[in-house]
Amino acid sequence: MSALLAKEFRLSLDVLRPWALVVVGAIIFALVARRLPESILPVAMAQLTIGDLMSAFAVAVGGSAVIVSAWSAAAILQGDQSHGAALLAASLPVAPRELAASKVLVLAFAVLVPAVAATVAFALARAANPVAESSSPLSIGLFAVLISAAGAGLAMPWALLVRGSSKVVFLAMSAAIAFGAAGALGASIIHLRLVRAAVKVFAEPGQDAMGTAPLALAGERARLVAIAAGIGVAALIGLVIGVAAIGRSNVRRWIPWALVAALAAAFGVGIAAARIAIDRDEAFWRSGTGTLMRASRLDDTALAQEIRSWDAARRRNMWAVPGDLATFAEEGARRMSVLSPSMRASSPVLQALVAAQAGASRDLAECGVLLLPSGDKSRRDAALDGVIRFPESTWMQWILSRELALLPGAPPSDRDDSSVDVQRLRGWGPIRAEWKDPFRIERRRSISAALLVQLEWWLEHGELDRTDVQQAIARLRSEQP
Amino acid sequence: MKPSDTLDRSPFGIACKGVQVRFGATHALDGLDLTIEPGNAVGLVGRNGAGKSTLFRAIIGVEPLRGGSISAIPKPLPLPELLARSGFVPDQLSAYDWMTVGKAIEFVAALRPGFDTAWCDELVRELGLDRTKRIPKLSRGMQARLAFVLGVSHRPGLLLLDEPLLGVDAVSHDAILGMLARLRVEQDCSILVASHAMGDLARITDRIAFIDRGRIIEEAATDDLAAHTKRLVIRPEPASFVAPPEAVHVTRQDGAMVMTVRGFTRELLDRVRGWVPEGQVDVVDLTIAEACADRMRAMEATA
Repeated sequence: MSALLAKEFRLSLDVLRPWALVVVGAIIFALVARRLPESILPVAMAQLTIGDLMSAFAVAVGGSAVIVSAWSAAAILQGDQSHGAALLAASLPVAPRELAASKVLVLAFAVLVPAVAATVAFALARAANPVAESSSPLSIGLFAVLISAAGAGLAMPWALLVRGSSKVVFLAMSAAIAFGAAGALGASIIHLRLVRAAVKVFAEPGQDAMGTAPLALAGERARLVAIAAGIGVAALIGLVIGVAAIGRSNVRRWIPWALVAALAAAFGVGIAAARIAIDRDEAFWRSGTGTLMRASRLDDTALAQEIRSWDAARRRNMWAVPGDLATFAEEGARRMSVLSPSMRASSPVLQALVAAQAGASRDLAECGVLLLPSGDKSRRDAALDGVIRFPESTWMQWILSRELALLPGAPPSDRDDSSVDVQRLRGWGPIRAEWKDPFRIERRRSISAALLVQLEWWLEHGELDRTDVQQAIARLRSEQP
Repeated sequence: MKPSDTLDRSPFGIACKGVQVRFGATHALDGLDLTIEPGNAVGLVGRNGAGKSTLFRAIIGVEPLRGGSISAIPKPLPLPELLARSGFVPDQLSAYDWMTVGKAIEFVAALRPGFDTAWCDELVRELGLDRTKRIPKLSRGMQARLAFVLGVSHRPGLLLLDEPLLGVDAVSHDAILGMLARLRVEQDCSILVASHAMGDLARITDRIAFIDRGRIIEEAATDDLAAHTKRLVIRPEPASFVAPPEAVHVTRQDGAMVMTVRGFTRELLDRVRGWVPEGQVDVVDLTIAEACADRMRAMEATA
């Protein structure tokens, strides 16, 4: 081993030696405590198994790796000075690249030591107390290495700026909080955009409240990712500027600027990471809010395709259709309701919605008819078809009655408050005395009778297909007592 | 990483032009100009905090320059080569505190190209260093000796000595000066040495440069400094006078005025005698140490 490398290893021992002593002390304490009679131990401690102890040890070592590594970085970068040999080291003809390589090599070793210790402890804990769903030691080890490396990267610039390892560790950890906050700020901007986009697609007032929970959870997940990414990129910048500044006093003056740049980078990376996290957030995009937003972003052709898929699925088994699929049909209905009749007619979305009505069962047809735009021929035709096929359906009768009333030159419907009535008919509204009849027979008769009058009027005025109208009249009459 | 054993030991100098080093708002070096020609030895004299150590640290690249330049002459050298071919003896021993004397020497030998082991052994023997002793256990004088050994064992072409005799006893003092003289004779190496033992500078330097507040304010050949710096004792103290430009330092003592002048001439003496036609002007020869001390007093007075 070269003299330079040996010296750097000796500097790393300034941290690793006391750390190892603490670790060994903790292990000895745990072993001794386990041999003590249970009567003199606290209950919680007496119940701890070896696996529990190793788990706690792994968490403690892995979690503290960020501090240990930051401390190691300070010890290795400031060791020449703290051991009284700064001028000797500076006056030796060692190329900055060689100096940086030796320090980085030893720092990598110092970073790995706590990570490896945590991984070994975790593996032992898992062996002693197997838990099927726990992470693999490899992934835990990788995570511990990342935490440890981040600590070193965050500490390097400070170790070259200020004296004293405790100051360096404090500043590095404070900087980590600042970089994490910058990442979180970036994530908040993306989350805010998501919330605004979500609010725009909520069709009905009150629906936005339904989307609050998925949006909040997506925001939390994105924020965590952005914080990690912000800290990670800042640590990487710290590592790069730190390595570049080793042995190069003129590079050190750029360190404060690099720290400012790292803060800006943490913010920028936080934005990018949050965007990626939200884009890939399966849990959010599969939620009702996410599906609504997905539907709103589809073009008409894709939306029509989704509507067809929804229709096919509900025809197979309407009780097994995932609820979010209906969202595409609702989005289609929303789009059609705001289009002009001429544009609507050629839309693949309307064609898909109409196709969903053709030959559908009564339940499906009753659901689907409302998806067609009010006042449009498609809804009127679907309702007429519904009345012919399901003359017992008061719902279809009422829809047809409303649609006929909307035609130009049509006589007014018998009751204009029928939307309220229908709500009551379907049991949604408060029940008044006249509605205490559980089967609402009188009201049903009244709607049926009103529709008959309308259809007979239309039979004379010829706007509708006479055959269909006659068939509907016949079917309605056959249903009347 | 074992360095090459070949080292160009030919003497080279240093040219400092408008060097600026700042510590926050403090201008440690404020446009310093100093040239050490190859083979020349220059003594650096100044008060504490004048910028001597900072200059050494700037030359070895520890302090980043805010302005100006430092380059080797006659041929500019990259910093690693400049460091390889020069030797630095700091005012306080710089060595890892966990090492022994022997280990510290081995460490430097491993990283210094052209480390002359035989010469190092001779230095260790001459200076009475114990290789087994741990560095924190060394006395102040022993530390200075070890610093000297670590700085010159590769027989550099340029020696940078920051107070090399600080805390050294009389025997080692002479030994160190003897070694320096030998290096100059055998290798004609260039030297920049700062020392408060100004009398010793005369033995090894060609020129003396005075530094104050980060600038070189005067340079003189060492021989000229002693020959042309005189102390004039004027009795009685003149009632009124205008200090001549040659005056370095003026003070009053027992009713007499004591004036140190540089560039002493007969004409100057006649002029001063004109101030006290009835009185007396005595001319006192000064040693290098006294001449330097009077200049430092003058710096102190103007600070």
